[in-house]
Amino acid sequence: MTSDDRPDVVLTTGRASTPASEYRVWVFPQGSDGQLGSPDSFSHFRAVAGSVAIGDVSGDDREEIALGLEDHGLQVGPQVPPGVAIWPMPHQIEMGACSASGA
Amino acid sequence: MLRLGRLNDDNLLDVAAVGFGTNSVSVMLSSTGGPNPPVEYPVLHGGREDLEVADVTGDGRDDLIVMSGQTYASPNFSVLAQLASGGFASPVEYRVGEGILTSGIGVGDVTGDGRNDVVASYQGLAVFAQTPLGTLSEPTIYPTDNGAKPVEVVDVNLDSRPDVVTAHNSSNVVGVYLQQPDGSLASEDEYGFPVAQVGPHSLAVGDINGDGAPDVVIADRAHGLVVLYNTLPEQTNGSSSADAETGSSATVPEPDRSCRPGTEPMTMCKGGGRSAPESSDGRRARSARAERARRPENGLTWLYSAIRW
Repeated sequence: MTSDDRPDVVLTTGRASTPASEYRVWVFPQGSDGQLGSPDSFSHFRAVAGSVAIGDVSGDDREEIALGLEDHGLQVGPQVPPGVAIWPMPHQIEMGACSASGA
Repeated sequence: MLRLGRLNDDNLLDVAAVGFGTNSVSVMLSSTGGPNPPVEYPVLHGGREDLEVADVTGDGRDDLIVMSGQTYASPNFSVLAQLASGGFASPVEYRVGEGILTSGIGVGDVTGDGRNDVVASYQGLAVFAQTPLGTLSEPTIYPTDNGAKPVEVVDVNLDSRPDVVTAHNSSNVVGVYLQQPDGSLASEDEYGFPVAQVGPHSLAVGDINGDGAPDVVIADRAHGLVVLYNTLPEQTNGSSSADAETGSSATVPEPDRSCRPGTEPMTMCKGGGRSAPESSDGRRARSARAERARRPENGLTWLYSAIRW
C-alpha cells in the first residue's frame, strides 16, 4: 500500500467501544527495518466493513483498497488517503467486527 | 465478502462479492474507463459466506468458489467455472457430508500435484483435491479437536509445499497443517495465542517483517491486530533445513527475534495457548509458554505480538 514493495497490513474496524476507532480503515506500514509502524487510518461510512481486499483494480499500477460495506455495497479507494468511488451492489455484506488482509 | 481476481481475459483485476444469504455472486469487471456495473450469477448460499477466486478447474482461468456457512439446504460450497467465452458456468455443488456446515475455505495445491485444491474448515478439515479432469474429488478429512474457521493456504515452512493455516474460534489456537512430501497433510500443529473471535476473513498470511518467512496476522475484537511472526525453524545445524525424504534443502533466513516497540512479544509454541492457564498472573502464564517454546516438535516457532492503537 505504500509503494515500497514491502507488504503492509490493512485492517478494518466496525463498532468499537472507542468512537474514534469505529468504522475506519487502518494501514500498518512495514518499515525498512521490518517493523510495523503506527497505523494511518481513514474513515468510511458508518457501516461495518465485513471484508477487505487489496489490488490494482483501476489499472494504474498502484494498489487500491476494496471494502465490502454493510448497506453500502462496495467501496474502492485508491491509495491512502483515498478519494472514494462507490459501486452500487445489491447485497448486504456479512457483519463482522474486523477483517484483515496482508501481503 | 469480496475477493479480487482476473475474471475475464483483459488481464485487469476484477472484483467478486457475495452478500449474506443472497443466493448470488456479483462480478464487477474493471476497465480502463472505470468499473462496469455488477453482473449477478445465481448460486445457493444461506449466510456466513466465504469466497475465493482461483483456478480450480485447471484451465488457467480464475473461477469463483462460493462457500455457504449457514442452512443445510445449501451446498457447503459451489464452483462457478469461468468460461472461455466470458462469464461463468452454472454452479457445481460440493458437500463435505450431510448435516455439516463449513466455516471457511482456502485454495492452493495442498496435494503436491500442481493443481489447486479446495480446503474447507468445519469441525475438521476437508481437502477436495482437483482431478486431472478439472473437477474436485471426494474430500479427504483431517481431524481437528475444535472448530476451525478461516483457512489460508501458504508455504509457511519454506519447503516449496503449500501448507494450511487456520484459526479456532474462541479457543486461542492457530492451527498449521504442514504438507508432507507424499501430498498428504501432517496432523495439526496448534499454536496458542490470545484471540477472542475470528471470522472467515479475519486471518491473513504474508511476510510483514521482511525476513522471507510468511507471518500470520489476525484481526481480533478484543486484542486488536494480533501478529504471529514466523521465526522459522529452530536450527540446530546452521542456516539450512534439510528435507529428510527428498534430501533437498532450503536457505533459511536468520530469525528476527527482536521485540516490537509498543507490543508485548512472547515466543509461542505448539500447544501453548490451549493448555496455558488463563491466569490473571500474566507473568506466570508467559513463563509456562516460554518453557514449551524451548521444545519445538516440528521446528516452527512464532513470536506473538498484539498491537493496539
